[in-house]
Amino acid sequence: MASRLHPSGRAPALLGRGLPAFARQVGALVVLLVVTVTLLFFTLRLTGDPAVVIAGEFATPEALADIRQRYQLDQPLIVQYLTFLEQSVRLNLGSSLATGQSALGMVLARLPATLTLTVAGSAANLAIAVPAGLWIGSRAAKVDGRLAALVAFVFQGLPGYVVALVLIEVATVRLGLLPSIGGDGGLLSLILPSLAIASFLAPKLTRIIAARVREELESDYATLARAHGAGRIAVLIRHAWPNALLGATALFGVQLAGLINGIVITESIFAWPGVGKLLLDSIIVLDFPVVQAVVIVTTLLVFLVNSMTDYGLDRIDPRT
Amino acid sequence: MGQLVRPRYWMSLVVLTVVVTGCTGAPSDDSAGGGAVRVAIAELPPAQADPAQHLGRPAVLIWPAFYDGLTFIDSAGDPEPWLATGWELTEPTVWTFQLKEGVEFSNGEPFDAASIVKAADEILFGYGAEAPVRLNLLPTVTDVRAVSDQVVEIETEDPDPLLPKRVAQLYPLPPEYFDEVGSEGFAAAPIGTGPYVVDDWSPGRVTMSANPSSWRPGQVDTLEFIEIPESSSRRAAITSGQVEIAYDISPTDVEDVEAGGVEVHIGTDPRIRTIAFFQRREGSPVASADVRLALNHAVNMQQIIDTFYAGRAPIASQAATSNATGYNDQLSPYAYDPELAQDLLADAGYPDGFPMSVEVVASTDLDKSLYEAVAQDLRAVGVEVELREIPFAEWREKLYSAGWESDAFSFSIAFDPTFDVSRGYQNLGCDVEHAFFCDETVTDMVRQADSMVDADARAALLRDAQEVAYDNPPAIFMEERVELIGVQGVAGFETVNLIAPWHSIAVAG
Repeated sequence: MASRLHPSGRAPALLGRGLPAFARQVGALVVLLVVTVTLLFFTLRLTGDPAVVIAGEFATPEALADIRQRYQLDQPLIVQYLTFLEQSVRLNLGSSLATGQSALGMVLARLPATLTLTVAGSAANLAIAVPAGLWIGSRAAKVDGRLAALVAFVFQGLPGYVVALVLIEVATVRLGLLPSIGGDGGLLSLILPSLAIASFLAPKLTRIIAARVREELESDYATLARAHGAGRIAVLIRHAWPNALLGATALFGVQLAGLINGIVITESIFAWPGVGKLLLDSIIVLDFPVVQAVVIVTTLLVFLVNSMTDYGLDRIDPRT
Repeated sequence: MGQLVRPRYWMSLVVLTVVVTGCTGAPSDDSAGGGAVRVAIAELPPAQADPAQHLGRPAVLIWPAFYDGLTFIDSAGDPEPWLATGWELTEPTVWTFQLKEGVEFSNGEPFDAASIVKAADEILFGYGAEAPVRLNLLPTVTDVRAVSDQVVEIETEDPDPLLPKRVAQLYPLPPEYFDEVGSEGFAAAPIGTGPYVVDDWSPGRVTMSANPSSWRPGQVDTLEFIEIPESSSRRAAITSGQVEIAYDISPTDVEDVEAGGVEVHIGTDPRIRTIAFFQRREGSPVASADVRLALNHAVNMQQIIDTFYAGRAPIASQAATSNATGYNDQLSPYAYDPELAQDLLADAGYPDGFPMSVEVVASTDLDKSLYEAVAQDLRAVGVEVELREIPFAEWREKLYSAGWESDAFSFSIAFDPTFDVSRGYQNLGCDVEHAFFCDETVTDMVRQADSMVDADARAALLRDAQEVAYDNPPAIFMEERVELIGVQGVAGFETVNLIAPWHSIAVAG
């Protein structure tokens, strides 16, 4: 039986197209994971010998040999790789070479903090970009609209960590309003890191929304709606915004997926105890199992976000 | 146009956001001044409180809040009584330690010789047999036995005059509790005899409460360590009052921090910063002692210290911190004398200088600035320095394998926990596996010293070794490292070789 052609031309979403689509998505996920972990496995092994890092500065050759044997680092690379694949299938991602703790356990212990910050930062991104994009798009021909578009353009070029440091200096040090340390201030401690994340995501999303809104407002159907007596706000909300939503959702999904991987600096500046810091520390000490566990978990999350984005696009696309 | 907006999709996103962000826990009780002290540090020990895994930073910043060693190394680098009240060498290879009476672990188990034997069984001969404490700190110990409840004997393979210093970081284990939770459980929820009890060890944060039954009880109700990796964030945390103590303040931030009413405590960090020479690199000019002397005389370290540390760090004159046994206080830092440097280079056959590659690890802006300042001074005498920044993991592997692709590399030499000149020569000597520098005369003197048990004679021989090494420097000596610590609202804070006696700390006023 021939598969149904998706009217939008995109691949069918995970949750909306039945079992065959689901099977395809799972198959794609498996391929993605195998390729990712394979590349990662061999690339990591090029970075150095973790035995010398584990053993410390005065290790004897015998101690190094013992460590290599204990962690099977003395085995041929292909044997290590096959063992790793076999254990990964059983969800056994090994133990940290630095601490002896379960690598997956270390990642999962930090994951809630990273997810919390990711979602909060994304919410701040939407809270800024949606109204700003609508307003700028609706005033594209006015001086204030152009000025705001210029501000968004400039902000898009600002490094996120600079904005983060400025936020801390103003809101924490000078005004004493908000904590800059993550994790202990409940919702309050989320505000600054969320704004920092939004500062490097929102400008781009704002500009995309503004551009789409402007296009829609200049289209024939908008002119027709106005000719039929619809007010400016009504045209904006009922017609321009829904159509602008499609492009904005696609970009938002990409940003969210990228954020899961790119939150390291924000976590570091705001002392947020998430996966990013763990990844950095693990890379420094060549803790292969933990690096692998972080990458596998984030790959799964990115895949999930992309699937949810496809689902969202399916739901809001008029052609479906 | 059809129904394009799907409100449920956007609403579900908002609800998800609220649910997830609402799960971040209760607001802090913000109890500064009410019996709580919060401490910002750059890094928590990755292996938590596993007593087999860590030496030096960052463990020594935190662990003394709940662990005690048998001895405590004082500011002069000498062992002081701690859980051991006295010790003596009863046979050439046997040290006998008398233990403090009436001490309990925070779970009520008694501290006695059995808890030292348990520590040895687990950390030295058991699960920690290939871990850093065994390999690097106590490699020579062959047996630990209880003579009585309060007396323990430690036997070493060869005479080890440094053992009383080494056991400063051998922490006793409560046998019953350790057997119950195992090494991994113990690392996450350690039990010690110190002034605080670990209540929670989460990623990025360690929370402790006072241990009233300790032989040195804590004075504040809650002691909390918070991991803040970024230097600028630690500065913000201390100046805004979010923490009472902040380690590792950048020298460039000191003025701002002090202007905010925060006192900056200067602690001794038992390391010296150097640019070490890869003497064994074939054809390298740094094989010549004259060249190495010239490079030391070419650097204006005083100006560099004044510029980047506001004069707060001592200049290193030799491979030792000034409190290490065997430090030779007759040796002054190499005088800044570019003309002498050029003469020495000419004598060595390099009148026009030479190109020199240096691999450095620059974790902070300060590191980068310091190495660049040294490079500029060297360029001024004709040595065209090329600084190559490399990751720490690569640096470590090159150090242990002597796999350098350069004439020199950045190297901070640590002297804790033994505070002894021989500690430095564990890296700088000829006996090192894959040695990168070798002076047979100096190595032989250090080797002799290591077999001597007469402390005064041993120290004198090490001082002589330093004098010999002065004319054949293994490195460009930069500064004795210092730790700048912001402190506010706290009484009784001090550090000894980075270690804070946490029991003496109280909320001020």
